[in-house]
Amino acid sequence: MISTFFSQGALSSGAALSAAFGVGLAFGVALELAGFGSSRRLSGVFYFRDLTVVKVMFSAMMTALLLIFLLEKSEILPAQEFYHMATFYGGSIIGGLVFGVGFVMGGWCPGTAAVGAAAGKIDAWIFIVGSMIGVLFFDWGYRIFYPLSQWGAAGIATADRTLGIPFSAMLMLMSLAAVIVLWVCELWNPDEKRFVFSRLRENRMLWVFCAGLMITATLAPSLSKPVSGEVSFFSDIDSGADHIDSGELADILMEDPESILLIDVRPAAEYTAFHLPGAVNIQPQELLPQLARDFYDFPMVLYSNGMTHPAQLRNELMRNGFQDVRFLTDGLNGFLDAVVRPASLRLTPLSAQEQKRLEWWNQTAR
Amino acid sequence: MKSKPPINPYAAGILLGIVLTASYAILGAGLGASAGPARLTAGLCRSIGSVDGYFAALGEQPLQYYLFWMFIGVFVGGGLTAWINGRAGLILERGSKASRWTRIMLALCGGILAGWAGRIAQGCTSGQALSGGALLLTGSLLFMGCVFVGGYLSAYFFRRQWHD
Repeated sequence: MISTFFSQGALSSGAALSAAFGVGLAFGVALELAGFGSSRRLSGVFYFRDLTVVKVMFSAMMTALLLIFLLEKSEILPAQEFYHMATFYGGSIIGGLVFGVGFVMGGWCPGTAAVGAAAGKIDAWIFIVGSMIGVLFFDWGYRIFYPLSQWGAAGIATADRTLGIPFSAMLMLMSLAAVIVLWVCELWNPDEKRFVFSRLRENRMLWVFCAGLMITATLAPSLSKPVSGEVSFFSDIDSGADHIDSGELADILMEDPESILLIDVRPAAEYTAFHLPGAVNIQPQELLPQLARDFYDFPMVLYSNGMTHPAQLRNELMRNGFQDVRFLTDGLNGFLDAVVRPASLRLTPLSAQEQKRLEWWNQTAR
Repeated sequence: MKSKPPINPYAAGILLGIVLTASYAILGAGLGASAGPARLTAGLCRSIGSVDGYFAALGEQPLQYYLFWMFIGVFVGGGLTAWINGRAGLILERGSKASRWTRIMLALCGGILAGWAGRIAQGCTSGQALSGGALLLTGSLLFMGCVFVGGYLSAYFFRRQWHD
């Protein structure tokens, strides 16, 4: 298993900065070899003059998509080892539209401009200076622009979940789209402004790439069992494996409290006022960064006053590759009701085990 | 030295895909470029005077950030490759019939829009579209689609800079 700088919380360390420089070197080499050190070539995509941008972007994305998927499924690079950017619909749509205009106007995007600038392209230098002015403008209007960038927050969303289809179907859909788009681009002859079908016989590299893509996309989902697939969510809910009831939790706390990590996700003030014995207080937005490194396979129980937030957080943690997360049924209120309430206030007599739990609570936990 | 043509686009794409995968496997984060100039601007502003808003949010040492050093890497790696392949040279790329000033102004204004939009979308074609797209992130795929929509819808107005 690979441990990344991100999961170690060391992305700003000297070693990580050196590694980032190295990755950047390779990135620059790849962009330059693709011919992206030229604004004429880059902007050509918008005039159907030169479709290299689409060819390179799509083949790069599909290559990485399948490689990362295989690494993830083989548990060499589990999902919690790398950063997943959250989706903001507003930011993506507004940013994307304006970025597209800037791209076709300037003939560069930031990465290719760095390559172009290093290759001596004066317009790339001007573009970079322009983008710094754009950043200054963003900083100047930060109070308006920041909420705009955060508008339409949807958390860590992937296309398969957004569309409500299985991941394997999404993979197949993307691969088919890639094959079609790549071939359309390949058959288009910009000089004659028409499609040239004889190219079907000529480009062996694209045939090999498409075959590899389709075979991998077909076989990849069946190569290994899903680590944290959506399917297991439904079966977990069905079998009750997603939650733990108050009595069971009390028994664990009574007999073997070290065997689980009990997490109170309520605000700090409520936690300070009262919490279950041994519980740690972690705010929802802190869960991933605080737990990602050491606890991804450790049994965890989340609780709050009710069940809604812990249940949501449980699913999000499982999606991020955590193996064993449950939430407390009926929340803290339910726990107090089922375990802590004195016998005199109950309608039915206590069982022997309930009596034991109550005594434990009164003597030690309280 | 005669300049060589670029390599096969699919070979370049596979290479870029492998670099992106390596970035995720080593750093635990994808590629990115727009953060480079953003961090540089923050660093410059900080060295001149006090900062607030966005630049303050980037911390006291905005340049001590992996994407800034990745940007420097792209510059060095791209520059060396261009030089080795005979593709380097001091020129202002434009159509032969386009005026120098048209090209300069469009490059500058395009940069301003892209620089601003990169902050709004929290990434550019590398950091948002490519890196997020490889994880099938909804926002990233949406961003990529919108970049092409914005580009194709407005391309007509900027076509003259490439006229020969």
